[in-house]
Amino acid sequence: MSHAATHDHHDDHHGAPKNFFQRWCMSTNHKDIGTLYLVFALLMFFIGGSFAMLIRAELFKPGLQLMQPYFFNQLTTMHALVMIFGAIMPAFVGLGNWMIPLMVGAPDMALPRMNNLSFWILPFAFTLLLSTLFSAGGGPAGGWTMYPPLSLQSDSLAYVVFSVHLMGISSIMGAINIIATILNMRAPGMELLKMPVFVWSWLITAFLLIAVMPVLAGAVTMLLTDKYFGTNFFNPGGGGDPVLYQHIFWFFGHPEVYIMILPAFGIISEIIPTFSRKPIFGYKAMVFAIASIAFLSFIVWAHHMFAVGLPLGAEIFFMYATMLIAVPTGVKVFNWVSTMWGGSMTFETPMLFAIAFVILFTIGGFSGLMLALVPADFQYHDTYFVVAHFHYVLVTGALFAIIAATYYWLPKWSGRMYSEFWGKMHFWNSVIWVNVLFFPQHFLGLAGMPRRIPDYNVAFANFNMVSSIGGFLFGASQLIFLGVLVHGVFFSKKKATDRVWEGAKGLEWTVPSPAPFHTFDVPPVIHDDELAHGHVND
Amino acid sequence: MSTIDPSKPIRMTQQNTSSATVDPVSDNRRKGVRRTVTITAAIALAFFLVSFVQIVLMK
Repeated sequence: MSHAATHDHHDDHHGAPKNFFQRWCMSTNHKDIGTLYLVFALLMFFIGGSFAMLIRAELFKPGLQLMQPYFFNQLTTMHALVMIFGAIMPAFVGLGNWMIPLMVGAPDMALPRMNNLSFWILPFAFTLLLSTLFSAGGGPAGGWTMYPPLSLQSDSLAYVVFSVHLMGISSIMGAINIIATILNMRAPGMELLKMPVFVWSWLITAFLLIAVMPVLAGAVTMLLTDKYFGTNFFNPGGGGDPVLYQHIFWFFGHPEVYIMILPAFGIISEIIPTFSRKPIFGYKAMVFAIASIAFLSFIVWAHHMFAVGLPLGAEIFFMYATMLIAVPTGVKVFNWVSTMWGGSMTFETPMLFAIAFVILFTIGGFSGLMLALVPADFQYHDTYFVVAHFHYVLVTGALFAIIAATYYWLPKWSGRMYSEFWGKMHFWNSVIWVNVLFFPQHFLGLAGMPRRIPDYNVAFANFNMVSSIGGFLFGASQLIFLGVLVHGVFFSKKKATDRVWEGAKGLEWTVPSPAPFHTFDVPPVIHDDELAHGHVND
Repeated sequence: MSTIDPSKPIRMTQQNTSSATVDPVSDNRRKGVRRTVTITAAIALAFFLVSFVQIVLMK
Protein backbone atom coordinates (compact mmCIF):
# COMPACT_ATOMS: atom_id res chain seq x y z
CA MET A 1 0.00 0.00 0.00
CA SER A 2 1.54 3.28 -0.95
CA HIS A 3 1.52 6.51 0.95
CA ALA A 4 0.59 8.40 -2.16
CA ALA A 5 -1.13 11.60 -1.36
CA THR A 6 -3.68 13.16 -3.59
CA HIS A 7 -5.32 16.49 -3.78
CA ASP A 8 -8.73 15.59 -2.47
CA HIS A 9 -9.43 19.02 -1.09
CA HIS A 10 -7.79 20.53 -4.15
CA ASP A 11 -9.99 18.45 -6.42
CA ASP A 12 -13.07 20.21 -5.07
CA HIS A 13 -12.33 23.08 -7.36
CA HIS A 14 -10.09 21.43 -9.93
CA GLY A 15 -11.75 18.06 -10.34
CA ALA A 16 -13.46 16.60 -13.35
CA PRO A 17 -16.06 18.93 -14.89
CA LYS A 18 -19.60 17.89 -13.99
CA ASN A 19 -21.00 18.79 -17.38
CA PHE A 20 -20.83 15.82 -19.78
CA PHE A 21 -19.93 17.92 -22.83
CA GLN A 22 -17.30 19.86 -20.90
CA ARG A 23 -15.77 16.72 -19.48
CA TRP A 24 -15.58 14.54 -22.54
CA CYS A 25 -15.59 16.86 -25.56
CA MET A 26 -13.46 19.67 -24.15
CA SER A 27 -11.18 17.53 -22.05
CA THR A 28 -7.49 18.26 -21.73
CA ASN A 29 -6.98 15.61 -19.06
CA HIS A 30 -4.74 12.75 -20.17
CA LYS A 31 -6.79 10.16 -18.29
CA ASP A 32 -10.11 11.24 -19.81
CA ILE A 33 -8.62 11.45 -23.29
CA GLY A 34 -7.04 8.04 -22.75
CA THR A 35 -10.46 6.69 -21.80
CA LEU A 36 -11.97 8.25 -24.93
CA TYR A 37 -9.33 6.60 -27.10
CA LEU A 38 -9.92 3.22 -25.45
CA VAL A 39 -13.71 3.39 -25.75
CA PHE A 40 -13.38 4.47 -29.38
CA ALA A 41 -10.97 1.60 -30.08
CA LEU A 42 -13.37 -0.87 -28.46
CA LEU A 43 -16.22 0.39 -30.63
CA MET A 44 -14.08 0.11 -33.75
CA PHE A 45 -12.93 -3.36 -32.65
CA PHE A 46 -16.52 -4.56 -32.65
CA ILE A 47 -17.34 -2.83 -35.96
CA GLY A 48 -14.22 -4.28 -37.60
CA GLY A 49 -15.00 -7.60 -35.94
CA SER A 50 -18.50 -7.63 -37.40
CA PHE A 51 -16.92 -7.24 -40.86
CA ALA A 52 -14.69 -10.22 -40.05
CA MET A 53 -17.74 -12.29 -39.05
CA LEU A 54 -19.37 -11.51 -42.40
CA ILE A 55 -16.16 -12.46 -44.23
CA ARG A 56 -15.95 -15.78 -42.40
CA ALA A 57 -19.66 -16.42 -42.97
CA GLU A 58 -19.19 -15.95 -46.70
CA LEU A 59 -16.17 -18.29 -46.64
CA PHE A 60 -17.95 -20.93 -44.56
CA LYS A 61 -18.66 -22.91 -47.71
CA PRO A 62 -17.44 -22.78 -51.32
CA GLY A 63 -19.63 -20.78 -53.66
CA LEU A 64 -21.24 -17.41 -53.11
CA GLN A 65 -23.40 -17.52 -49.97
CA LEU A 66 -24.39 -14.14 -48.68
CA MET A 67 -23.01 -11.33 -50.81
CA GLN A 68 -21.72 -10.24 -54.17
CA PRO A 69 -17.94 -10.35 -54.70
CA TYR A 70 -17.61 -6.57 -54.87
CA PHE A 71 -19.17 -6.19 -51.41
CA PHE A 72 -16.86 -8.93 -50.11
CA ASN A 73 -13.90 -6.90 -51.36
CA GLN A 74 -15.28 -3.85 -49.56
CA LEU A 75 -15.51 -5.88 -46.35
CA THR A 76 -11.92 -7.11 -46.47
CA THR A 77 -10.70 -3.58 -47.19
CA MET A 78 -12.78 -1.93 -44.48
CA HIS A 79 -12.01 -4.67 -41.94
CA ALA A 80 -8.30 -3.93 -42.31
CA LEU A 81 -8.61 -0.14 -42.30
CA VAL A 82 -10.91 -0.14 -39.28
CA MET A 83 -8.86 -2.63 -37.27
CA ILE A 84 -5.47 -1.06 -38.03
CA PHE A 85 -6.28 2.64 -37.85
CA GLY A 86 -9.42 2.51 -35.73
CA ALA A 87 -8.85 -0.26 -33.19
CA ILE A 88 -5.21 -1.25 -32.65
CA MET A 89 -3.51 2.13 -33.06
CA PRO A 90 -6.01 4.19 -31.02
CA ALA A 91 -5.99 1.51 -28.30
CA PHE A 92 -2.22 1.88 -27.93
CA VAL A 93 -2.52 5.68 -27.98
CA GLY A 94 -5.18 5.41 -25.29
CA LEU A 95 -2.97 3.21 -23.14
CA GLY A 96 -0.09 5.62 -23.71
CA ASN A 97 -2.23 8.60 -22.78
CA TRP A 98 -3.40 6.98 -19.58
CA MET A 99 -0.16 5.46 -18.44
CA ILE A 100 2.83 7.45 -19.75
CA PRO A 101 2.28 10.54 -17.54
CA LEU A 102 1.60 8.26 -14.56
CA MET A 103 4.71 6.20 -15.28
CA VAL A 104 7.10 9.14 -15.65
CA GLY A 105 5.59 11.31 -12.91
CA ALA A 106 4.19 14.02 -15.20
CA PRO A 107 1.01 15.95 -14.34
CA ASP A 108 -0.36 15.53 -17.87
CA MET A 109 0.74 15.28 -21.48
CA ALA A 110 2.99 18.09 -22.67
CA LEU A 111 0.36 19.45 -25.08
CA PRO A 112 -3.07 18.75 -23.58
CA ARG A 113 -5.16 20.76 -26.06
CA MET A 114 -3.48 19.11 -29.00
CA ASN A 115 -4.18 15.83 -27.27
CA ASN A 116 -7.90 16.63 -27.34
CA LEU A 117 -7.72 17.55 -31.02
CA SER A 118 -5.78 14.34 -31.83
CA PHE A 119 -8.60 12.27 -30.44
CA TRP A 120 -11.59 14.19 -31.74
CA ILE A 121 -10.33 14.06 -35.31
CA LEU A 122 -10.75 10.28 -35.25
CA PRO A 123 -14.55 9.96 -34.94
CA PHE A 124 -14.93 12.27 -37.94
CA ALA A 125 -12.33 10.34 -39.94
CA PHE A 126 -14.07 7.03 -39.32
CA THR A 127 -17.57 8.39 -39.85
CA LEU A 128 -16.34 9.56 -43.23
CA LEU A 129 -14.70 6.22 -43.99
CA LEU A 130 -17.63 4.05 -42.87
CA SER A 131 -20.17 6.29 -44.61
CA THR A 132 -18.75 5.17 -47.95
CA LEU A 133 -20.33 1.76 -47.38
CA PHE A 134 -23.73 3.45 -47.77
CA SER A 135 -22.80 5.53 -50.82
CA ALA A 136 -23.97 4.65 -54.32
CA GLY A 137 -20.60 3.33 -55.51
CA GLY A 138 -19.90 1.48 -52.28
CA GLY A 139 -16.82 1.67 -50.09
CA PRO A 140 -13.19 1.14 -51.00
CA ALA A 141 -12.65 -2.36 -52.37
CA GLY A 142 -9.03 -2.38 -53.54
CA GLY A 143 -7.52 -3.63 -50.26
CA TRP A 144 -6.16 -1.54 -47.39
CA THR A 145 -2.94 -1.07 -49.39
CA MET A 146 -4.90 0.93 -52.02
CA TYR A 147 -2.67 -0.22 -54.87
CA PRO A 148 -3.24 1.65 -58.13
CA PRO A 149 -4.63 1.20 -60.71
CA LEU A 150 -7.28 -0.88 -58.88
CA SER A 151 -7.92 1.66 -56.13
CA LEU A 152 -8.26 4.46 -58.71
CA GLN A 153 -11.38 2.77 -60.06
CA SER A 154 -13.25 3.35 -56.82
CA ASP A 155 -15.74 6.21 -56.57
CA SER A 156 -15.06 6.51 -52.86
CA LEU A 157 -11.32 7.13 -53.23
CA ALA A 158 -11.52 10.80 -52.28
CA TYR A 159 -13.40 9.98 -49.05
CA VAL A 160 -10.88 7.28 -48.15
CA VAL A 161 -7.90 9.50 -48.89
CA PHE A 162 -9.35 12.33 -46.81
CA SER A 163 -10.09 10.01 -43.91
CA VAL A 164 -6.54 8.56 -44.13
CA HIS A 165 -5.20 12.12 -44.05
CA LEU A 166 -7.24 12.82 -40.92
CA MET A 167 -6.02 9.62 -39.25
CA GLY A 168 -2.45 10.52 -40.18
CA ILE A 169 -2.74 14.05 -38.76
CA SER A 170 -4.18 12.59 -35.57
CA SER A 171 -1.38 10.03 -35.29
CA ILE A 172 1.39 12.58 -35.98
CA MET A 173 0.01 14.99 -33.38
CA GLY A 174 -0.33 12.15 -30.89
CA ALA A 175 3.25 11.04 -31.59
CA ILE A 176 4.67 14.55 -31.19
CA ASN A 177 2.77 14.86 -27.91
CA ILE A 178 4.15 11.59 -26.59
CA ILE A 179 7.74 12.46 -27.55
CA ALA A 180 7.44 15.92 -26.00
CA THR A 181 5.96 14.43 -22.82
CA ILE A 182 8.59 11.74 -22.38
CA LEU A 183 11.56 13.96 -23.18
CA ASN A 184 10.47 16.98 -21.16
CA MET A 185 7.93 16.08 -18.51
CA ARG A 186 9.65 13.33 -16.54
CA ALA A 187 9.89 13.81 -12.80
CA PRO A 188 13.35 14.73 -11.52
CA GLY A 189 15.29 11.50 -11.03
CA MET A 190 13.32 9.58 -13.64
CA GLU A 191 16.26 9.12 -15.97
CA LEU A 192 15.74 7.75 -19.47
CA LEU A 193 17.22 4.37 -18.54
CA LYS A 194 14.99 4.11 -15.49
CA MET A 195 11.79 4.52 -17.47
CA PRO A 196 9.42 1.56 -17.77
CA VAL A 197 9.89 -0.45 -20.96
CA PHE A 198 6.35 0.51 -22.01
CA VAL A 199 7.39 4.19 -22.03
CA TRP A 200 10.52 3.35 -24.01
CA SER A 201 8.50 1.34 -26.50
CA TRP A 202 6.13 4.29 -27.01
CA LEU A 203 8.99 6.79 -27.39
CA ILE A 204 10.48 4.71 -30.19
CA THR A 205 7.08 4.03 -31.75
CA ALA A 206 6.31 7.74 -31.77
CA PHE A 207 9.46 8.42 -33.79
CA LEU A 208 8.38 5.73 -36.24
CA LEU A 209 4.99 7.41 -36.52
CA ILE A 210 6.31 10.86 -37.33
CA ALA A 211 8.63 9.37 -39.93
CA VAL A 212 6.17 7.17 -41.82
CA MET A 213 2.66 8.61 -41.49
CA PRO A 214 3.64 11.61 -43.66
CA VAL A 215 4.89 9.18 -46.31
CA LEU A 216 1.48 7.48 -46.38
CA ALA A 217 -0.10 10.92 -46.63
CA GLY A 218 2.16 11.68 -49.59
CA ALA A 219 1.33 8.39 -51.31
CA VAL A 220 -2.44 8.78 -51.00
CA THR A 221 -2.22 12.43 -52.04
CA MET A 222 -0.58 11.27 -55.26
CA LEU A 223 -3.40 8.74 -55.73
CA LEU A 224 -5.87 11.56 -55.36
CA THR A 225 -4.13 13.79 -57.88
CA ASP A 226 -3.80 10.86 -60.29
CA LYS A 227 -7.54 10.30 -60.17
CA TYR A 228 -8.86 13.85 -60.09
CA PHE A 229 -6.14 16.25 -61.25
CA GLY A 230 -4.66 14.53 -64.28
CA THR A 231 -1.26 13.63 -62.83
CA ASN A 232 0.46 10.38 -63.79
CA PHE A 233 2.51 9.38 -60.79
CA PHE A 234 1.32 5.79 -61.03
CA ASN A 235 -0.09 5.67 -64.55
CA PRO A 236 2.22 3.94 -67.04
CA GLY A 237 0.30 5.58 -69.87
CA GLY A 238 1.60 8.96 -68.69
CA GLY A 239 5.09 7.83 -67.76
CA GLY A 240 4.30 6.77 -64.20
CA ASP A 241 4.77 3.43 -62.52
CA PRO A 242 2.33 1.59 -60.22
CA VAL A 243 5.24 -0.27 -58.59
CA LEU A 244 6.55 3.06 -57.28
CA TYR A 245 3.35 3.37 -55.27
CA GLN A 246 4.13 0.00 -53.70
CA HIS A 247 7.61 1.16 -52.73
CA ILE A 248 6.25 4.29 -51.08
CA PHE A 249 3.32 2.51 -49.46
CA TRP A 250 5.49 -0.19 -47.91
CA PHE A 251 8.08 2.32 -46.77
CA PHE A 252 5.16 3.38 -44.55
CA GLY A 253 3.55 -0.04 -44.30
CA HIS A 254 6.32 -2.07 -42.76
CA PRO A 255 7.20 0.37 -39.98
CA GLU A 256 3.42 0.55 -39.47
CA VAL A 257 3.50 -3.14 -38.55
CA TYR A 258 6.05 -2.30 -35.84
CA ILE A 259 4.00 0.69 -34.73
CA MET A 260 1.33 -1.90 -33.93
CA ILE A 261 3.68 -4.31 -32.13
CA LEU A 262 6.37 -2.29 -30.30
CA PRO A 263 3.94 -0.89 -27.67
CA ALA A 264 2.72 -4.48 -27.26
CA PHE A 265 6.31 -5.49 -26.45
CA GLY A 266 6.35 -2.73 -23.85
CA ILE A 267 3.10 -3.94 -22.27
CA ILE A 268 4.30 -7.53 -22.06
CA SER A 269 7.57 -6.29 -20.54
CA GLU A 270 5.52 -4.67 -17.74
CA ILE A 271 3.19 -7.58 -17.07
CA ILE A 272 5.58 -10.54 -17.02
CA PRO A 273 7.90 -9.08 -14.31
CA THR A 274 4.89 -8.17 -12.14
CA PHE A 275 3.45 -11.68 -12.13
CA SER A 276 6.88 -13.35 -12.01
CA ARG A 277 7.81 -11.12 -9.05
CA LYS A 278 11.20 -10.47 -10.61
CA PRO A 279 12.73 -7.49 -12.38
CA ILE A 280 12.77 -7.89 -16.12
CA PHE A 281 15.76 -9.84 -17.39
CA GLY A 282 18.09 -7.63 -19.45
CA TYR A 283 16.38 -4.25 -19.23
CA LYS A 284 18.90 -2.46 -21.42
CA ALA A 285 18.88 -5.28 -23.96
CA MET A 286 15.09 -4.97 -24.15
CA VAL A 287 15.33 -1.25 -24.85
CA PHE A 288 18.06 -1.66 -27.46
CA ALA A 289 16.17 -4.54 -29.07
CA ILE A 290 13.13 -2.30 -29.53
CA ALA A 291 15.33 0.42 -31.03
CA SER A 292 17.02 -2.12 -33.33
CA ILE A 293 13.70 -3.48 -34.54
CA ALA A 294 12.54 0.09 -35.22
CA PHE A 295 15.67 0.87 -37.23
CA LEU A 296 15.47 -2.37 -39.22
CA SER A 297 11.81 -1.71 -40.01
CA PHE A 298 12.94 1.08 -42.37
CA ILE A 299 15.11 -1.15 -44.55
CA VAL A 300 12.90 -4.17 -45.18
CA TRP A 301 9.87 -2.76 -46.98
CA ALA A 302 10.38 -4.55 -50.28
CA HIS A 303 9.87 -7.99 -48.74
CA HIS A 304 6.18 -7.26 -49.38
CA MET A 305 6.99 -6.94 -53.07
CA PHE A 306 9.21 -9.90 -53.94
CA ALA A 307 6.71 -11.02 -56.57
CA VAL A 308 6.70 -7.75 -58.54
CA GLY A 309 10.02 -8.48 -60.23
CA LEU A 310 12.71 -6.76 -58.20
CA PRO A 311 16.38 -7.07 -59.21
CA LEU A 312 18.03 -10.14 -57.68
CA GLY A 313 20.42 -8.03 -55.59
CA ALA A 314 17.51 -6.12 -54.07
CA GLU A 315 15.67 -9.34 -53.28
CA ILE A 316 18.72 -10.75 -51.52
CA PHE A 317 19.28 -7.53 -49.55
CA PHE A 318 15.68 -7.31 -48.39
CA MET A 319 15.59 -11.03 -47.58
CA TYR A 320 18.64 -10.86 -45.31
CA ALA A 321 17.61 -7.54 -43.74
CA THR A 322 14.23 -9.06 -42.92
CA MET A 323 15.77 -12.17 -41.40
CA LEU A 324 17.99 -9.92 -39.28
CA ILE A 325 14.90 -8.71 -37.42
CA ALA A 326 14.67 -12.16 -35.86
CA VAL A 327 17.81 -11.35 -33.80
CA PRO A 328 16.47 -8.48 -31.63
CA THR A 329 13.05 -10.15 -31.57
CA GLY A 330 14.70 -13.34 -30.34
CA VAL A 331 16.46 -11.31 -27.64
CA LYS A 332 13.09 -10.08 -26.44
CA VAL A 333 11.47 -13.52 -26.38
CA PHE A 334 14.53 -14.94 -24.59
CA ASN A 335 14.38 -12.16 -21.99
CA TRP A 336 10.66 -12.64 -21.34
CA VAL A 337 11.21 -16.36 -20.80
CA SER A 338 14.26 -15.64 -18.63
CA THR A 339 12.22 -13.21 -16.55
CA MET A 340 9.70 -15.97 -15.85
CA TRP A 341 12.44 -18.53 -15.21
CA GLY A 342 12.77 -19.10 -11.48
CA GLY A 343 10.14 -16.47 -10.74
CA SER A 344 7.37 -16.82 -8.22
CA MET A 345 4.74 -16.88 -10.91
CA THR A 346 0.99 -16.52 -10.59
CA PHE A 347 -1.45 -16.72 -13.46
CA GLU A 348 -3.96 -13.91 -13.24
CA THR A 349 -5.72 -12.97 -16.48
CA PRO A 350 -3.15 -10.34 -17.65
CA MET A 351 -0.35 -12.87 -17.18
CA LEU A 352 -2.27 -15.54 -19.09
CA PHE A 353 -2.70 -13.21 -22.03
CA ALA A 354 0.98 -12.19 -21.76
CA ILE A 355 2.18 -15.81 -21.85
CA ALA A 356 -0.15 -16.54 -24.77
CA PHE A 357 1.34 -13.49 -26.48
CA VAL A 358 4.89 -14.80 -26.11
CA ILE A 359 4.03 -18.20 -27.54
CA LEU A 360 1.60 -17.21 -30.29
CA PHE A 361 3.44 -14.07 -31.40
CA THR A 362 6.51 -16.25 -31.81
CA ILE A 363 4.52 -18.50 -34.16
CA GLY A 364 3.64 -15.38 -36.15
CA GLY A 365 7.31 -14.42 -36.14
CA PHE A 366 8.39 -17.79 -37.46
CA SER A 367 5.88 -17.71 -40.30
CA GLY A 368 7.23 -14.23 -41.02
CA LEU A 369 10.70 -15.71 -41.38
CA MET A 370 9.30 -18.23 -43.86
CA LEU A 371 7.78 -15.37 -45.85
CA ALA A 372 11.12 -13.52 -45.81
CA LEU A 373 12.70 -16.26 -47.93
CA VAL A 374 12.48 -15.06 -51.51
CA PRO A 375 12.07 -18.45 -53.22
CA ALA A 376 9.47 -19.59 -50.68
CA ASP A 377 7.64 -16.26 -50.85
CA PHE A 378 7.02 -16.76 -54.53
CA GLN A 379 4.70 -19.60 -53.49
CA TYR A 380 3.26 -18.02 -50.33
CA HIS A 381 2.69 -14.56 -51.77
CA ASP A 382 -0.96 -13.43 -51.70
CA THR A 383 -2.13 -16.71 -50.18
CA TYR A 384 -3.89 -17.45 -46.89
CA PHE A 385 -0.46 -18.24 -45.41
CA VAL A 386 0.13 -14.48 -45.35
CA VAL A 387 -3.31 -13.95 -43.79
CA ALA A 388 -2.49 -16.51 -41.08
CA HIS A 389 0.93 -14.91 -40.48
CA PHE A 390 -0.21 -11.35 -39.95
CA HIS A 391 -3.23 -12.37 -37.89
CA TYR A 392 -0.94 -14.28 -35.51
CA VAL A 393 1.14 -11.12 -35.25
CA LEU A 394 -1.73 -8.67 -34.94
CA VAL A 395 -4.44 -10.65 -33.11
CA THR A 396 -2.50 -12.95 -30.81
CA GLY A 397 0.24 -10.31 -30.74
CA ALA A 398 -1.03 -6.73 -30.69
CA LEU A 399 -4.65 -7.44 -29.67
CA PHE A 400 -3.75 -9.91 -26.92
CA ALA A 401 -1.30 -7.35 -25.52
CA ILE A 402 -4.01 -4.67 -25.53
CA ILE A 403 -6.40 -7.05 -23.75
CA ALA A 404 -3.66 -7.99 -21.26
CA ALA A 405 -2.97 -4.29 -20.62
CA THR A 406 -6.66 -3.62 -20.10
CA TYR A 407 -6.97 -6.33 -17.44
CA TYR A 408 -3.67 -5.21 -15.89
CA TRP A 409 -4.47 -1.52 -15.56
CA LEU A 410 -8.29 -1.58 -15.38
CA PRO A 411 -8.28 -1.71 -11.53
CA LYS A 412 -6.05 1.39 -11.51
CA TRP A 413 -8.43 3.17 -13.87
CA SER A 414 -11.75 2.18 -12.31
CA GLY A 415 -10.80 1.48 -8.71
CA ARG A 416 -12.59 -1.89 -8.92
CA MET A 417 -11.32 -5.40 -9.55
CA TYR A 418 -12.73 -7.18 -12.57
CA SER A 419 -14.06 -10.73 -12.23
CA GLU A 420 -11.03 -13.03 -12.38
CA PHE A 421 -13.25 -16.02 -13.19
CA TRP A 422 -14.81 -14.34 -16.21
CA GLY A 423 -11.44 -12.91 -17.21
CA LYS A 424 -10.06 -16.43 -17.35
CA MET A 425 -13.16 -17.63 -19.22
CA HIS A 426 -12.46 -14.88 -21.74
CA PHE A 427 -8.82 -15.94 -21.96
CA TRP A 428 -9.37 -19.66 -22.50
CA ASN A 429 -12.13 -19.12 -25.04
CA SER A 430 -10.04 -16.57 -26.90
CA VAL A 431 -6.84 -18.60 -26.95
CA ILE A 432 -8.55 -21.79 -28.11
CA TRP A 433 -10.79 -20.30 -30.76
CA VAL A 434 -8.21 -17.89 -32.15
CA ASN A 435 -6.03 -20.90 -32.99
CA VAL A 436 -8.97 -22.77 -34.49
CA LEU A 437 -9.60 -19.62 -36.53
CA PHE A 438 -6.11 -18.87 -37.83
CA PHE A 439 -4.00 -22.01 -37.66
CA PRO A 440 -5.82 -23.84 -40.50
CA GLN A 441 -5.23 -20.78 -42.68
CA HIS A 442 -1.53 -21.75 -42.79
CA PHE A 443 -2.53 -25.03 -44.46
CA LEU A 444 -4.94 -23.27 -46.82
CA GLY A 445 -2.18 -20.91 -47.90
CA LEU A 446 0.40 -23.64 -48.38
CA ALA A 447 -2.15 -25.51 -50.49
CA GLY A 448 -2.55 -22.44 -52.68
CA MET A 449 -5.74 -20.69 -51.61
CA PRO A 450 -5.46 -17.02 -52.60
CA ARG A 451 -6.45 -14.26 -50.19
CA ARG A 452 -9.18 -11.67 -50.87
CA ILE A 453 -11.56 -14.02 -52.70
CA PRO A 454 -15.21 -14.74 -51.81
CA ASP A 455 -15.29 -18.16 -53.45
CA TYR A 456 -12.77 -21.00 -53.62
CA ASN A 457 -12.02 -24.49 -54.83
CA VAL A 458 -13.90 -27.27 -52.99
CA ALA A 459 -10.52 -28.73 -52.02
CA PHE A 460 -10.26 -25.92 -49.45
CA ALA A 461 -13.75 -26.48 -47.98
CA ASN A 462 -12.96 -28.33 -44.75
CA PHE A 463 -10.25 -26.04 -43.41
CA ASN A 464 -12.37 -23.01 -44.30
CA MET A 465 -15.32 -24.40 -42.36
CA VAL A 466 -13.10 -25.07 -39.33
CA SER A 467 -11.64 -21.58 -39.61
CA SER A 468 -15.09 -19.99 -39.80
CA ILE A 469 -16.33 -21.91 -36.76
CA GLY A 470 -13.25 -20.73 -34.86
CA GLY A 471 -13.95 -17.21 -36.09
CA PHE A 472 -17.55 -17.15 -34.89
CA LEU A 473 -16.59 -18.50 -31.47
CA PHE A 474 -13.60 -16.16 -31.14
CA GLY A 475 -15.94 -13.28 -32.00
CA ALA A 476 -18.50 -14.46 -29.44
CA SER A 477 -15.73 -14.76 -26.82
CA GLN A 478 -15.12 -11.04 -27.09
CA LEU A 479 -18.64 -10.43 -25.77
CA ILE A 480 -17.33 -11.94 -22.51
CA PHE A 481 -14.61 -9.27 -22.58
CA LEU A 482 -17.27 -6.59 -23.00
CA GLY A 483 -19.22 -8.03 -20.08
CA VAL A 484 -16.12 -8.18 -17.85
CA LEU A 485 -15.28 -4.57 -18.72
CA VAL A 486 -18.78 -3.24 -17.98
CA HIS A 487 -18.93 -5.18 -14.72
CA GLY A 488 -15.37 -4.21 -13.75
CA VAL A 489 -15.91 -0.51 -14.39
CA PHE A 490 -19.45 0.00 -13.05
CA PHE A 491 -20.70 -2.87 -10.90
CA SER A 492 -17.86 -4.79 -9.25
CA LYS A 493 -18.05 -4.67 -5.45
CA LYS A 494 -14.41 -5.58 -5.00
CA LYS A 495 -12.32 -2.46 -4.53
CA ALA A 496 -8.82 -2.32 -5.95
CA THR A 497 -5.89 -1.48 -3.70
CA ASP A 498 -3.42 1.20 -4.76
CA ARG A 499 -0.75 -1.28 -5.79
CA VAL A 500 -3.37 -3.71 -7.18
CA TRP A 501 -0.86 -6.51 -7.94
CA GLU A 502 1.54 -7.85 -5.33
CA GLY A 503 4.57 -7.69 -7.62
CA ALA A 504 3.77 -4.36 -9.27
CA LYS A 505 6.47 -1.71 -9.17
CA GLY A 506 6.61 1.79 -10.57
CA LEU A 507 5.20 5.28 -10.10
CA GLU A 508 1.77 4.45 -11.50
CA TRP A 509 1.09 2.12 -8.57
CA THR A 510 1.77 4.81 -5.97
CA VAL A 511 -1.35 6.78 -6.82
CA PRO A 512 -4.71 5.68 -5.42
CA SER A 513 -7.13 3.43 -7.30
CA PRO A 514 -8.98 4.83 -9.14
CA ALA A 515 -6.29 7.27 -10.18
CA PRO A 516 -7.40 10.78 -9.14
CA PHE A 517 -8.33 13.29 -11.83
CA HIS A 518 -5.05 15.13 -11.21
CA THR A 519 -1.86 13.33 -10.30
CA PHE A 520 1.72 14.51 -9.87
CA ASP A 521 0.79 18.20 -9.89
CA VAL A 522 3.96 18.39 -7.85
CA PRO A 523 6.76 16.15 -9.11
CA PRO A 524 7.02 12.95 -7.11
CA VAL A 525 10.05 12.00 -5.06
CA ILE A 526 11.69 9.15 -6.89
CA HIS A 527 13.11 6.22 -4.91
CA ASP A 528 14.98 3.75 -7.07
CA ASP A 529 13.84 0.82 -4.91
CA GLU A 530 10.26 1.50 -5.89
CA LEU A 531 10.90 1.68 -9.61
CA ALA A 532 10.78 -1.46 -11.70
CA HIS A 533 14.14 -0.51 -13.25
CA GLY A 534 15.57 1.81 -10.62
CA HIS A 535 18.87 0.03 -10.26
CA VAL A 536 19.57 -0.69 -13.88
CA ASN A 537 22.87 1.25 -13.82
CA ASP A 538 24.15 -0.29 -10.59
CA MET B 1 5.78 23.83 -0.70
CA SER B 2 6.46 20.24 0.04
CA THR B 3 5.27 18.54 3.21
CA ILE B 4 7.75 15.72 2.62
CA ASP B 5 10.91 15.75 4.67
CA PRO B 6 13.61 14.29 2.43
CA SER B 7 15.66 13.20 5.44
CA LYS B 8 12.98 10.70 6.51
CA PRO B 9 13.02 7.29 4.83
CA ILE B 10 9.68 7.14 3.08
CA ARG B 11 8.35 5.17 0.21
CA MET B 12 8.12 6.78 -3.19
CA THR B 13 5.14 9.06 -3.08
CA GLN B 14 3.55 12.18 -4.42
CA GLN B 15 4.18 15.33 -2.53
CA ASN B 16 1.15 16.72 -0.78
CA THR B 17 0.37 20.38 -0.84
CA SER B 18 -2.64 22.63 -0.86
CA SER B 19 -0.83 25.82 -1.74
CA ALA B 20 0.48 27.15 -5.00
CA THR B 21 3.91 25.86 -5.82
CA VAL B 22 6.80 27.21 -7.78
CA ASP B 23 8.05 24.62 -10.20
CA PRO B 24 11.70 25.43 -10.86
CA VAL B 25 11.80 23.19 -13.89
CA SER B 26 8.69 24.54 -15.59
CA ASP B 27 10.55 27.10 -17.72
CA ASN B 28 13.00 24.49 -18.89
CA ARG B 29 10.14 22.16 -19.62
CA ARG B 30 8.33 24.77 -21.67
CA LYS B 31 11.40 25.50 -23.74
CA GLY B 32 12.09 21.79 -24.11
CA VAL B 33 8.56 21.08 -25.30
CA ARG B 34 8.76 23.88 -27.87
CA ARG B 35 12.09 22.62 -29.14
CA THR B 36 10.84 19.01 -29.31
CA VAL B 37 7.69 20.00 -31.17
CA THR B 38 9.66 22.11 -33.64
CA ILE B 39 12.11 19.31 -34.39
CA THR B 40 9.54 16.51 -34.61
CA ALA B 41 7.15 18.57 -36.75
CA ALA B 42 10.06 19.40 -39.07
CA ILE B 43 10.89 15.70 -39.36
CA ALA B 44 7.26 14.91 -40.21
CA LEU B 45 7.13 17.65 -42.84
CA ALA B 46 10.45 16.52 -44.30
CA PHE B 47 9.26 12.93 -44.70
CA PHE B 48 6.03 14.14 -46.35
CA LEU B 49 7.99 16.15 -48.89
CA VAL B 50 10.59 13.43 -49.41
CA SER B 51 7.85 11.01 -50.46
CA PHE B 52 7.23 13.29 -53.46
CA VAL B 53 10.91 13.89 -54.19
CA GLN B 54 11.61 10.18 -54.04
CA ILE B 55 9.02 9.36 -56.65
CA VAL B 56 10.30 12.04 -58.99
CA LEU B 57 13.87 10.74 -58.63
CA MET B 58 12.83 7.12 -59.14
CA LYS B 59 11.03 7.98 -62.36
